[in-house]
Amino acid sequence: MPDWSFRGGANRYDTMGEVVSGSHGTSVTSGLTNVKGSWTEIVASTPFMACCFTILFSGVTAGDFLFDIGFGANPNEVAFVSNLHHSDRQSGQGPTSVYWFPIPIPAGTRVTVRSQCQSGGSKVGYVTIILCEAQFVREPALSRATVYGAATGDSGLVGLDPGGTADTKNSYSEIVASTTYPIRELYIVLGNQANTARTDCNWLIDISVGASLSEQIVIPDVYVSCNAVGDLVLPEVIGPIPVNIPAGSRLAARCACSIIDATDRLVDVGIIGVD
Amino acid sequence: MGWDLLSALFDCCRRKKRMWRVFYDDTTGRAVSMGSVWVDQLPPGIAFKEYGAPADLSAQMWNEATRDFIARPPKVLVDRLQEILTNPAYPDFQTLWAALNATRRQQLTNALARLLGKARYRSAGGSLTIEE
Repeated sequence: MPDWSFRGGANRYDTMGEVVSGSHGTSVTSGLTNVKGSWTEIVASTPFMACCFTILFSGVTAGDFLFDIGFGANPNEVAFVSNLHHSDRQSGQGPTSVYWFPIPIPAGTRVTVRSQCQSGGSKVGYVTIILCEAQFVREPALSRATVYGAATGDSGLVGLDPGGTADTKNSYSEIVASTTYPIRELYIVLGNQANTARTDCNWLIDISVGASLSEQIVIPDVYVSCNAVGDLVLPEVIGPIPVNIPAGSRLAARCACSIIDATDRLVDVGIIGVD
Repeated sequence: MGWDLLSALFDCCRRKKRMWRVFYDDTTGRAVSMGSVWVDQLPPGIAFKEYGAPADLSAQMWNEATRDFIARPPKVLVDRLQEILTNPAYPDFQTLWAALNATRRQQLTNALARLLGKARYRSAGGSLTIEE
């Protein structure tokens, strides 16, 4: 009896942008400091209809990156999602940020990426994209990803300060005053604030919806950590998490930290909403 | 004229909503929430301070005593190469160092600096030992 589930993929996957010599992704070079560079082609034409895709980004050099995914022919690329964040370890090539989007990409699509970096101009990142083919009709497809909280001035996100008392939730920081679109799947993105030497510590982060003084916690106590060797807040991306947040909502976050060092207790947070 | 008045009031409210406020506990001064959208009625015991733009929390921090932002103290980095010269856990290295002349000390410093790379500097809250 064949096993044809309505869930799951078609067992057909392909990775775009891999570079065999060096075992890495396609090299994408940023523009001037905190300025997006030019679009770099990852794939000229996707080979099949993908029901979802995963993008992997790693910085070859240290720093905070923001990168865009674009669709379309040269020179008419359109940013499909802007300002995805990646922090790389201050000594150079480090872990890869992994973003999985439950968003279809039609066959024959040209996919490009461009980036900016906080630590200087012409910084290189490696990018690959994994495509997954759909099997049968899936649940209603999502079609849009929106990043909230990106700070293009320093290629970072919204700063959270847990305050001077360890292990105590501090003030909410506003991620966005009003979401542009509803959110059906939510990602929490963590940034390193380009901290060159971190102290071992942990955070518990609340993600909330609502105006100041009436925030309602949606996702409580998200656990992230860092150590003094890696100097990176990890994980960098959490999600997707199914939610149902209307458009026009204020998103905020607060956190507690195990240390009180005035710099090392800080962490950047952003939200990606997919609908 | 009625429509102009309503439009002006709307614009006024909208402009007010674009300001950025820090809400804090009026007793302790502890910040509770920061942002540009807030409730109409403040809970008892909550006060606020209004600013034209969000504070850069990487450079500023809320001070409970003054109920305002102050400059965040600069990050203190400790040089492990200097620290090992005075840390009582490394008497053998200090004995070795004492026996070197200035030229050899500089050579050793240069070599260790290259070897350590980024790990030469640690956060003030970290440890001298480079841990895995």
